[in-house]
Amino acid sequence: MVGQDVLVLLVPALPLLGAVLIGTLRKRLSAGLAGGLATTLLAGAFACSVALFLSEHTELGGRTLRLFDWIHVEGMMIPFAFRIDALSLTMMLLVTGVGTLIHLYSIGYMHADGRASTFFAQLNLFCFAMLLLVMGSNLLITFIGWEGVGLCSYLLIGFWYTNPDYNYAARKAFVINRIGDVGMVLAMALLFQQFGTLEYAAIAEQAGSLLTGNHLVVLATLLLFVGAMGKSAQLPLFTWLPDAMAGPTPVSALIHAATMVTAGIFLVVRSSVLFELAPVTQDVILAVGTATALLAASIGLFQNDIKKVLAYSTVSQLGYMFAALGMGAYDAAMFHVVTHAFFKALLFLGAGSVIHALGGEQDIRRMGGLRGSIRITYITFLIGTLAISGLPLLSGFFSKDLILAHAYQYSPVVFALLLGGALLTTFYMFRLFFLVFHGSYRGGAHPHESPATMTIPLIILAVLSVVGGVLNVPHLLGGHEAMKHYLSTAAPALGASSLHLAAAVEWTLMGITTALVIATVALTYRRFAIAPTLDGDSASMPMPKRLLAERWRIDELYARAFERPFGWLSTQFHAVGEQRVMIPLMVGFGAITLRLGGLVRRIQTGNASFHLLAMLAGIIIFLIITLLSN
Amino acid sequence: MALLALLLIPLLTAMVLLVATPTRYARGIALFSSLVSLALTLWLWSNYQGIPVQALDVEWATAWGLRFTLGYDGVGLLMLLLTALVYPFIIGAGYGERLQHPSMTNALLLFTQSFVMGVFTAQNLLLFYIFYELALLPVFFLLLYWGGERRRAITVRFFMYTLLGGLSLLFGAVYCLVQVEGFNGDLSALATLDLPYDTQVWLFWVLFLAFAIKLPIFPFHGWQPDTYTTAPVQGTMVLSAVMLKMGLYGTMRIVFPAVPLGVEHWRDTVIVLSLVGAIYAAVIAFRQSDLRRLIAYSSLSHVGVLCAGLFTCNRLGMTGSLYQAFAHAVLAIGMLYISGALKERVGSSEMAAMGGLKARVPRLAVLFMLVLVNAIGLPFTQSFVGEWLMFAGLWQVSTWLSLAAVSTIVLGAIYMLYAYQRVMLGTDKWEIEMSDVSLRDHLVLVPLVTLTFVLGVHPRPILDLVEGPVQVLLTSFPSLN
Repeated sequence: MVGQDVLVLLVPALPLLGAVLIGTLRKRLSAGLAGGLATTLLAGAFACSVALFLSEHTELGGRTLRLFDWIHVEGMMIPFAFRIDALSLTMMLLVTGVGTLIHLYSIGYMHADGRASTFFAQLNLFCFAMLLLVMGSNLLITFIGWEGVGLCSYLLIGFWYTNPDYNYAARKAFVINRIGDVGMVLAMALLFQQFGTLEYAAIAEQAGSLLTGNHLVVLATLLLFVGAMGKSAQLPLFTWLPDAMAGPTPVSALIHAATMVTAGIFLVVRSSVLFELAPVTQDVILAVGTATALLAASIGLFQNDIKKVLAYSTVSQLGYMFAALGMGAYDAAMFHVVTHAFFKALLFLGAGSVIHALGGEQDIRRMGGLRGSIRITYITFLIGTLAISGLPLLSGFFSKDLILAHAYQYSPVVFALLLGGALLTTFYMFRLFFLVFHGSYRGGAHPHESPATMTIPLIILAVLSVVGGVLNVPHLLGGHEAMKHYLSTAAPALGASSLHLAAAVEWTLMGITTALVIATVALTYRRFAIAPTLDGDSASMPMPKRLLAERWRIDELYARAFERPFGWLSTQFHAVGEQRVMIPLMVGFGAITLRLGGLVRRIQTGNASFHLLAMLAGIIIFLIITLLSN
Repeated sequence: MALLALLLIPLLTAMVLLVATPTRYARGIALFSSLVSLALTLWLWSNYQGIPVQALDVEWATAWGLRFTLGYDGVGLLMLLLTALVYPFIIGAGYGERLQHPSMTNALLLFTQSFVMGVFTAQNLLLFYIFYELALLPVFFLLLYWGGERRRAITVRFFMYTLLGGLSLLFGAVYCLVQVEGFNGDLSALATLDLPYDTQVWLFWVLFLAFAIKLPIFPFHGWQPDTYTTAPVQGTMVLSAVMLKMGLYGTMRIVFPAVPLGVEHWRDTVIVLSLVGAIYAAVIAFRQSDLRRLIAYSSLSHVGVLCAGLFTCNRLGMTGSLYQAFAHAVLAIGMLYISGALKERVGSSEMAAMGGLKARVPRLAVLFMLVLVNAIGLPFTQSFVGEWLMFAGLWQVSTWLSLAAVSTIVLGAIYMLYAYQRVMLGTDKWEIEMSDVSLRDHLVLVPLVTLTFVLGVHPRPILDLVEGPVQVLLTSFPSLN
């Protein structure tokens, strides 16, 4: 197994090597060379992941590769170890695979940027951290990655650091994530006290003897979910993700769509044993996920920034994944993680290609008619749009349909809500698509197709977005739910969810969904493709629409409720607490002491400095005597 | 003998500097002396077997309970290591500060080193007290002669605070010596004092006050922000990297064994005060406009958590606190050095006067970021190990207290990243020439950053060092564990 272990090590080691190498040599490397090196190393990690996927015997439940003792105190042993099983391998393939494509794309996208090598170093560092996150055998190793991806996200959102808005967005992302991290740290402290270990496998083993609804487990899972809320941008901690679009577009694709933001889902799946014991938490997750899915989709309806639309779409899709988790359908959530990574990365990279073609333009009101000039981007973006809308036989269809079927089985209300969300998704995605590619061009740039390093990843991702569904074809359509069976070896809960709907019901649901989606597409075609209606300033809109366009004013609310009061508090603590209380206290106290000192001085003849000097001299003489006598 | 040498090397070097005033070579001589001390300490460490060492025991004024007894255990050695390790950096930082009379400043710094080493090795209560008071004297002079604005008033306040703490400690020590039959002032005998509960309850504050001021914890911190901001960088480095740990060390070496029942009685109060202070200071830090003052409040916030961790009186909390003491020393030196390096280039430590520096000093920006990730406790830095252990320890005390402690990771990110943005990010508005990191900057910052990550990934050596002493301390609190 030694060869296998080396492969496991290489997966995170290669991107780390890239980060260190490119980071230190960044001045001497050209943009192309840095990009080439970063891409090659990550591709190497992908190759290792594939080799592991083919050779590891995960059907036995996976194994732990222990490297060294990290934190070892009497009573607490945290090893630095990797867990290799179906779940981590799936995520490793996803991170390195999609990551490699996005690295390749970045070579073209960033070629003119003066700090491209810094960019690639940070991108590689991100992949390293993300791999630690998914490979860790205990919560604390996951947490290393968790914080590491947070740092890289901060650095990359604020990559163009001369813009204060971008810097603010970067800080906002980090701080909101940290609020989630408080939950995560407390959960780890609780779990450690409860189980005496943070190893996933050991916790799962011990949790087997606990009763459903155990209070401490409920608390632990709620705290873990708070962490997941931050990282995966769920209500109420979602506001950082749309702002995070300040980063270069490949960053949005890799970090803020395909990989990092799914870390929260991964965490819940990884700890599925605990969540299965906490029905209360599951209900909370379902409610939060559904609410987020709907709220974010509703905001997406009237946004005019191409990346903002996709960002709200990501928040909404993550809501779907959490809804699935809340219903105990871990396999459906993971399936959607994978297909979403394909089509959302595709959509973001497509958006990047559009922005690139138009010289930095992001407002869809100044686009239009681009299908003629950027053909490959057009076709691939169409595929992505179809996939996210869930048109039959594309990847999004299979994964979203699975979630909807579970929702129907769980409760018709949840189904109706999530179906409504799916229709909103179709609406805003096709609105975006038609406004960008159809009609006539409304801007003043000269669109040109992107270079091959950018279009090749688009094509590959488009293919994956089409065929990604084969990973988990349901029995109804003659498949074997391959991914579910594969994942179930990692933890029993991952294969436990089952649909017992009659075939007729499933066919009906599928038919209704598809019909409504197609109707929505037709609606958007009429409104946005032929003679597009463009929105002006949000202030001139009628009320409900204006509220959506202004994102429910949640950012303003947070600014008023938290940011400004915090600044006020900071000023007040200093002005009142320090200046008016502490210092006068100290001055008054000083005056009293001085007066007392004056009294003492009258009694004693010498002054203080003489005493101290004498003391010092005494010690020195004594030391010298001791030294000589020994 | 090696221990005595550890005290004498800096002391004698300092006296040579005072007498000979070799202005040009003063820093070099001081640096050499501190490197010799470091080598000697590392040698002691390599020979340490995990058993407390009693190196020297000489009669002095035994009738008053004063003996010249030197020794160390794991924690003492940790503190010696920390001190020996940071002094070369502190003295090296002096190459940037254009202070007058370099032989005088370096002599004062070496005096502090000698006395601090004395504090960490003294095995007699009164001897400890003497070193404890002596260590501050050179800092007063540093502050008084080389400080910034309003230095006289600030020095007086600082002196008053410390004087009060010192007298209180002296009173407590004398009380123990007078009241307890057969107590000879030996620190190892403190655990056998067995004072009545009521006495321990008040004596706790008498003994702890000095350390509460030295650390400082809320609300005994009145002297700290002004002093940290006004003192020359090297003085602040000594105060925050080294002297602060005297408070921590004193608490666990003297207060914990002498009045364990008093500690148990006041434990929750002290933890609450510490955490209130940690949050209060972190909130204040956000809107500070002076980088030095921000670092002062940041230090105050970190110390709050540190003290709360120590007062958990459980293994994880105390181990974490001691580990964090080391991490904090490295962090403090790094942060203060960067503030000095920035002032050197910009001429001020007001952040309003900075901004957009990353374009001019990109390497310094990277190093700042690397120090900063330690400040906000990202995993694989030293601080994370300490903080995680403290949080886990606090959880065992109370859910709410640990929530308060963990909330500082949010607050820390808020003020630190805001500070980084104000200093480094934004458009390049500079018209003056500015050099990026010099060789000296590299020599100071790169080893510190390396140490941060090495001990963050491999904390074992330090954790092993404190394991034994923590085990001993736990026996003071049988009812809590």
